[in-house]
Amino acid sequence: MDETQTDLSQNLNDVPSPDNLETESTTPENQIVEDNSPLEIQLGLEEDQLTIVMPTTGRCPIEDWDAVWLMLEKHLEQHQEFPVLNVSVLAQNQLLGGRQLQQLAELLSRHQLQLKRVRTSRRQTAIAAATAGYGVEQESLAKLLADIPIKLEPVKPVNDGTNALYLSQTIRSGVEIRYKGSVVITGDVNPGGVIIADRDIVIWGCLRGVAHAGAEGDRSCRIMALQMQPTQLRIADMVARSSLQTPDHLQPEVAYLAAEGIRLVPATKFSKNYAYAAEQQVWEELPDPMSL
Amino acid sequence: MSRVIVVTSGKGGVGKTTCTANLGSALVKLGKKVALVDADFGLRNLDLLLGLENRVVYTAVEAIAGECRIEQALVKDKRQSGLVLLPAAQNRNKESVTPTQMKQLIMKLNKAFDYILVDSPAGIEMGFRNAISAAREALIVTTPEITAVRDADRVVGLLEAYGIKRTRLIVNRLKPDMIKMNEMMSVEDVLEILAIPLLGIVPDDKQVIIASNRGEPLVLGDQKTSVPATAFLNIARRLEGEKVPLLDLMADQDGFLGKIRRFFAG
Repeated sequence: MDETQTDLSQNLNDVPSPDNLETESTTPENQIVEDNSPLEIQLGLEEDQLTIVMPTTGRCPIEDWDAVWLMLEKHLEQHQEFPVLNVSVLAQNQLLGGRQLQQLAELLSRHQLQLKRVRTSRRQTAIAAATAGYGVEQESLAKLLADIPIKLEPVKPVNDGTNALYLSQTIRSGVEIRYKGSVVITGDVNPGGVIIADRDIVIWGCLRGVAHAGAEGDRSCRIMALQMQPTQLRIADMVARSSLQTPDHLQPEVAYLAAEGIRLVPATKFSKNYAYAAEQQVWEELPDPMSL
Repeated sequence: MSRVIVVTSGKGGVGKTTCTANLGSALVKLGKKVALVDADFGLRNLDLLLGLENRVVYTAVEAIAGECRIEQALVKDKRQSGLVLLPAAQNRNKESVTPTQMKQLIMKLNKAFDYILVDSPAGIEMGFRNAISAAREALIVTTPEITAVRDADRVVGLLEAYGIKRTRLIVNRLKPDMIKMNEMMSVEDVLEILAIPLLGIVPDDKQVIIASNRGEPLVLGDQKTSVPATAFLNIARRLEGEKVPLLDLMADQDGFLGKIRRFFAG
């Protein structure tokens, strides 16, 4: 925060534009200006340009820029094409080096966007941007904050199913869990409880309710439980109901889709002896050379 | 601050009201001051079980509406000093009261009693929401039947969602002879599914029905001859934090030879 203050005063000395002086006089302590910056990186689409709005360091000090660019990249991949060419960065008081700016520019150019302008309140960022050849405006933080576009769209990690939903609780009757990725439950799933996942379901406990893996149609998805006593198992578009008699000896099992339908196999056996045949879209048992 | 405990089950007819009445009486026997609140508007029963029907003048609805003071609505039990009942209205339905009103009403009793037991209606609708509104603990009553256990499981989940984390289980109407013949779910089976701490087991006994019809809680009668009465007293003592072992309900079942057999079987 101290640094910001020095930056601001420096800024005023360097560029005594009437604008900045006015800001200074109406709000004698710049730090008191309401911080309306977003909590994470956001995109604002204006008539002639796309603005990348960053949080202030007070809101969120960004250190791992690689992660931020990765997130932005994923977001841009999912996004429709922007009707503009030029990109302006409202960097607030974040510290951006030449390397980071270069990474950003490359990332943007992959999506037919061009980094044109960097607006910052921080001297080092301004120097880095100027050295790299982008248009730079070093302004007071208050002015930058005032220029944040009204309509913003958050850049958040897109849930592509690579993240699992982790629940540490018993899923009781009447509770239904729906998730776009895999679901991990440490606890039981009681009769009347339902888990529907677009990918795998792992239950570190007893499955007595209904589990539906690969709900969007992925036939390679599996259901794993320490104790399998399900009311019903569903994988992709297949359904299996439990047999009436329960075995005396319960062990961790994996439910998978074979050519004949949903099958159960002891967990210890599955990982060694089964492989997914992508063409037939079923799991196949591999011949075990040990028993040949 | 009194302990506000809701007695609930989801399914009807498993013995919520009987448990509330007997637990209330048992807690009074331990020297506690207890208020029983009937939250079953429109289908009130608690006053019948306690034999207080003819003494009801005002009900909770009048107290909420401000037509009487809450002290006027409380019915004192002459046989057990320390026990009062806040009866439910019989002429209204469950939608006539909101959870907020119910909570405010129960909070007015908060200082004067050690325990406030709220008898919940069956179901998970408005009446249930009213009953749990002020509660900080819950007793789940279930019988060893899959329907009752399934509903109890749903209710435990709902209580968690409403922020009542301290729930304990009473298994009611256990028939040891049927368990022995493998014709009934055992307590272990019930606990396996519900996975909440067990507070006590009450055996099925015709004395419970006799006592209900007389309007005299079992606990008031002769305990030496009544297993369920002892069971309720034990539950009350466990609520108080005492460590009381479970009654061996199976012991009566198998007679002398069976005991020897069980001894050798380990």
